[in-house]
Amino acid sequence: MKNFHAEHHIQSFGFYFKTFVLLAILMVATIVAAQIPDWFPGTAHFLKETMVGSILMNTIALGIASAKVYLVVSNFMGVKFADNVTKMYALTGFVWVTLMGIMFIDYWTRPWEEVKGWENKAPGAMPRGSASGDDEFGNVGKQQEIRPYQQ
Amino acid sequence: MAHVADSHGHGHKPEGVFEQYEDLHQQQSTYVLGMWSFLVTEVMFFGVMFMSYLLYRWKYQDMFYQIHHDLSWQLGGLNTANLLFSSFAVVMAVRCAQLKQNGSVLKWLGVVQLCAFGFLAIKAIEYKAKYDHGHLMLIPGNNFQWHDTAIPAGIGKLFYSLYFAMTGLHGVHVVIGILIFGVMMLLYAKKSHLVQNDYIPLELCGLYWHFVDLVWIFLYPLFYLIPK
Amino acid sequence: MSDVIIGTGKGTAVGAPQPDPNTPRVNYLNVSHTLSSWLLTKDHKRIAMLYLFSISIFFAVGGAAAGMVRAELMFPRGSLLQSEGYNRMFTAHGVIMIFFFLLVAIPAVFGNFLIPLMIGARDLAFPRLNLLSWYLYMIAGTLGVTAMLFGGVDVGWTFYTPLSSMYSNGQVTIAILAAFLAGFSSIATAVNFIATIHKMRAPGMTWDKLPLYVWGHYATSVIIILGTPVVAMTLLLVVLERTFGIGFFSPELGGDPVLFQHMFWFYSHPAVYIMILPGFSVISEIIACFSRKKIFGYHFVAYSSMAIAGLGFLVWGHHMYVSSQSMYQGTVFSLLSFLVAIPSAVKVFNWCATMYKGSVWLASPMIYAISFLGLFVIGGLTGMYLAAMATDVHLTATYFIVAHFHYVMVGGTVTAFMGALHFWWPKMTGKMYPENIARYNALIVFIGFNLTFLPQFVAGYLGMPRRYHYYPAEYQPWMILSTTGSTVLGFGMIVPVFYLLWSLKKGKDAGPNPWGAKGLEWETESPPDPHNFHHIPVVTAPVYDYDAEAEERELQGEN
Repeated sequence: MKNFHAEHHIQSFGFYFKTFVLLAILMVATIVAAQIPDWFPGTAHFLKETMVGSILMNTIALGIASAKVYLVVSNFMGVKFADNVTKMYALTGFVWVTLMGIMFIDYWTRPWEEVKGWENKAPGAMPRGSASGDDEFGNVGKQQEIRPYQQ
Repeated sequence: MAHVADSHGHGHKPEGVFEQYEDLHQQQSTYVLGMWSFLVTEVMFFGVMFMSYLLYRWKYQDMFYQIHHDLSWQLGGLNTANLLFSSFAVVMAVRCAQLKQNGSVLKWLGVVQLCAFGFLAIKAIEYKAKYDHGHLMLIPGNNFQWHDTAIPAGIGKLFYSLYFAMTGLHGVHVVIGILIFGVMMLLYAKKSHLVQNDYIPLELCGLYWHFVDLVWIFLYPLFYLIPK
Repeated sequence: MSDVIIGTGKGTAVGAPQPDPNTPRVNYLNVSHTLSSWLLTKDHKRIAMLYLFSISIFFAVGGAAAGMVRAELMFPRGSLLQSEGYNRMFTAHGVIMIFFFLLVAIPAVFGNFLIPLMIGARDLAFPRLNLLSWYLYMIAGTLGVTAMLFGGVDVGWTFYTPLSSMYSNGQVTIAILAAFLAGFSSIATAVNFIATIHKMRAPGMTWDKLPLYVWGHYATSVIIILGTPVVAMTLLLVVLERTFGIGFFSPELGGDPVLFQHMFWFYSHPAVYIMILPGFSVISEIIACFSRKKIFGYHFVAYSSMAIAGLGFLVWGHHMYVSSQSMYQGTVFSLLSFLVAIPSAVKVFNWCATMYKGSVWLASPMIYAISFLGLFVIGGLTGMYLAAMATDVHLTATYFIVAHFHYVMVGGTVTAFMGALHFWWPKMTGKMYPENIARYNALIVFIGFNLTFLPQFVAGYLGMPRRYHYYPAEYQPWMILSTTGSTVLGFGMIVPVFYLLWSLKKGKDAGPNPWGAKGLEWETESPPDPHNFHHIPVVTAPVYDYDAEAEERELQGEN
């Protein structure tokens, strides 16, 4: 452990090259997987219109991406040969970012009430766009009404 | 006990070891750990974007699927291959640095720079296409225009907001990568003592570059290859 | 003094020549006097002093804003400010105090100064990065204060959308960029601490022997690297929405304001632990020293810091019970919020158990530490009211909340900061301040603080909303009490400036260890040598190896 970066731990050209080839294969695989519904129209209905197909396709795409990430992190970034602390930190970020996903419980268990007709509103307009004045970006917000407190 | 003479013995430290460290090994492993804890922040940094993406992709799945056909998976794939190869070039550069082969380091770093500029060039082609997409502008902002009657404009704008925000932030990281590899090439070309005794500076730049690669590995399927 | 053996480290045993009594000993303060030697320093102790100087200024600015707010609230129809001015003033108070004082105060000043000393290192792992973090902080602070003074920001420190992204005029963009830069400054500090604590400990300094101060800062750093980038990115998205209208957070563009709140509080709830955990770690040191006892349940206190760091990330939803967040998720968050009280309570009980049958010495740092205990317990327990969904619906956005988080942030962090300042001031400067004045001042701070914020609990419970400056006259008595208290508190904050500065010139020499404390930082001279230690120490003694009885016998023997 002491000399984990010392000379005799330099990885061989072959090791890196094999990793690269593996990554390239995975990349081709993910492209091919995504094109299957177009290339084989017979599968299109199952893969595009059914829920199972949709889940399957998404899982394949993200699974391949995860495999590529694993290869890069462990082989190229050298985590495979690093000390335990480095391994822990390498893992921490990827684990912790998923905690943010807890917020999807929220979206899953409440209705999302949209502003009526937002999606067709003049798309070129900036959010604060209206015709009656300027703000710091040359756009206008709703005119702020400042009403003194009446008792 | 308190008044002991100054006797740090800096003299017998190997060259390239900074004064706060005992030896090269401690310095190297500290640098690697520091870089990794920085990369943790980068993961969380991009995590916000990916979470926003997940939310809106989930909400407007069908329409995002239709819009994504505007993006060219061929160009995106070219860029993926490009970045993967540049990652390989980086590890080769680091390997040559470990073997103290200065010339090869420079060659491999040159390859990395070529890939990085290639990436930006392809990205520029893609952005240009969005800038004058059939005389329409798809970049969010004042002049955003949308013509697709099947898909509401607001959702198109959301998609392109996500696309430009995420690939844009990634692009900024690529530019920073080009700059730091430029500095590295300069240091190696000048045979600076910073990199002659220690390959770790290059290794750290490499870690950064691999991280940029990792982000793209997720961006590519999420934008260019959206399955329905 | 056999607790810690200062060994010769790497076998460089050199006889110690006697110092010449006529030439002053070289220390980090007098090693050079030029301005550039301060502005370009890589010495962690000097950077800590730079931070101490700059956060004091921002604290004063934020305090002035608080003074304006309190003056305005004396009268139900307002006295000083217009509505817009009032909004800008409480925003300035919040933004400056949180981003430029609380988040950085203890880690950047005392963490920078003490962590290398406590673990027996020559410096932090990345001295240049450390200096960079100070510059980032200064740029951020300058930008932030500029934004507050010219144009102002009226969205509150939380930058809630769509107010901040669509409706609010003013310098929101600049204020957000300032917060963004301040975030990167603390990330730089945290990366430094993590690498230093993992890799630079002196021989023999195992994790079991680390002072709890270092444990607390380690937990803080972990929260910073996991949380700060999240808020940085979220605020950046707000800027993008302001400038390009990307619409992630604004319902009129198809976004969801609650998404902003989720991502903002994902950081900003752990951020309150970034503010309070260093305070905890300071209190552990002070209480162990002035009780002359090993801290009770060392491992529990150490691991509870890590537990807080972890659990702190799972409770953010309790800020959002009334924000249209799903009530099912609210239930989950409510449960988890109660859980996070456990590690905090573990700490408080262990501190009390440490003092029990200890040989308690009521020096000024200890008075601050004890008032911390009382105030933090009130602040923490009122947090339980707010963690419960049903009571929170009544209490949220009232002065009850304001009082709660001031009890934690001011009663906790600022009190701990004052305690740390008094505890380590002799180490940092080599001078003693007038102890009696300091003690009475600690009492003034305690009284002033309670007078300020206890009435706010009542007013809030009775229903007075926060952030309003025109209010029904029935709340006026509470507001007058509070403003009176804030005057006392302000006085208590100003007095130390004078006697601490006085001590620099006229204070008597402190000697290496004025408190008889244990720990590596007390083994060097005060102020320390530029290289901290003459030899890298070898640690053989257990941590907090206090022995009150032995000290007592020693004193008797001397007499």
